[in-house]
Amino acid sequence: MEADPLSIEVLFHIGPVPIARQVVTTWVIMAAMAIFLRIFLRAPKRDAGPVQAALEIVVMAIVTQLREVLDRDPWPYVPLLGSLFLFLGIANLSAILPGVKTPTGHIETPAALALIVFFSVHFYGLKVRGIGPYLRHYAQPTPFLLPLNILSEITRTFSLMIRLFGNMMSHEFIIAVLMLLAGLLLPIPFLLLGVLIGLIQAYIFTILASVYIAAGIGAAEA
Amino acid sequence: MQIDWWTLAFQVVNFLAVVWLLSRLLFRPIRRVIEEREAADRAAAQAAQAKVDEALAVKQDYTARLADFAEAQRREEADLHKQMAEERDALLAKARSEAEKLLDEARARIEAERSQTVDQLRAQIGELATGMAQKALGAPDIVTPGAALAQASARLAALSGTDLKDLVTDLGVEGAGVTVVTAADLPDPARDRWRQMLQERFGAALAIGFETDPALIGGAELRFPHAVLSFSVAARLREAVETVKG
Repeated sequence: MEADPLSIEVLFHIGPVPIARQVVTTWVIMAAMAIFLRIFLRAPKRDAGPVQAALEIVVMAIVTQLREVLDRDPWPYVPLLGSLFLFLGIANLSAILPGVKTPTGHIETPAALALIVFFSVHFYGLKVRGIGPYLRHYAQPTPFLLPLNILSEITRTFSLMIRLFGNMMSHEFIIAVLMLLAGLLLPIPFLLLGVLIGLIQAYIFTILASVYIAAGIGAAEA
Repeated sequence: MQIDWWTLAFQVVNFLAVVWLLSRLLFRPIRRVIEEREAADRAAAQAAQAKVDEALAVKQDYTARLADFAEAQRREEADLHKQMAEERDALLAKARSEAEKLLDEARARIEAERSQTVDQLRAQIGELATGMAQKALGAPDIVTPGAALAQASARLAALSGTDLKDLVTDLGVEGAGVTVVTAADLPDPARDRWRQMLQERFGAALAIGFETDPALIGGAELRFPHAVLSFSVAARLREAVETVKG
């Protein structure tokens, strides 16, 4: 166990650039996803096989959920928000593998995702509404709320980051403490609980990001 | 807690790579397949709709033909009914004509038979009237002078013992007697002959009276207290009428 559990664990350096464990874990996850999809979804057919059917169910569940939140055609937003949910789900669940630490248990990964969501909200808002209407929506319903609206853009991004980080980090801590105190078998229920927590956090992060984007494009109020 | 900015930057890039990766390997292929499937479904639905439209057109054509057929059938039925009505009327007229003819023949036959019967009846009535007149007017046994007396004497002589005894008993009552009734008043000699005949039969003390009754027409009647012996033309006529009645 590290001396400071909140500090990054540098595995190696590329020149002056330190490569942390969560970065490597992310690369592994990316590689696994790419290999899996290349194998099982190389040439998708109309008559789907079991794996393709399962993937279609997952994708259509995401699309349906996003359609309800965005109240419009969700496909332009599916690559970002669908990737968020799948990456977070896989990354959070990766902690159940022996020797693997979830990338979301350190602040950098949730911060990176929250930053991407933050800029995506503005990107989609400007793209859909245009500059003038998008900027004006910060002064609604009254110009007096402009500072609060701007502040809420920052705080909700921060809360998005902290929520994911806090949940996953605390779960890691609990597992680590229990393993120190009780050995190998006792943490198993908590590992199962971790599966639930990981999926719930992925869902919450994705839905909040969807709501923020929906507010940005004028589909809903955040 | 410190943020490692290199790691943050790596994770930003990594997630953008994940977005690109999943978009290329997962979302686009899935979307393409779903759209192809939806397009195939739409094409199938359109084909099905075309089939439905075609079926509806065929059904409409069938319905129209059926209506035309029904109309033609209705016209044929109407013509047939009209023709049948004409034939029926013609048959009825013919039958009525024949029936009238038969009826006229029957009436003529009945009239002829009735005339013949009436003639026969008239002849019979004439014969009967002739017979009755002969009986009434041509009855010498009671109309000629003394004939009624002879008839009465013969009738009394022919009475059975019981009947005669009844008459004697009736006459034995005090004040009882015999009344001789004739259509015309009898002369004294004739009355004497009646008295003599009756007294010979019932004794000299017999009270004998004489009366006239034009309704008798001719002949005479002997009226006892409880019996009448009639030898009159009126009695003969009554017998003749009873005989005719059967």
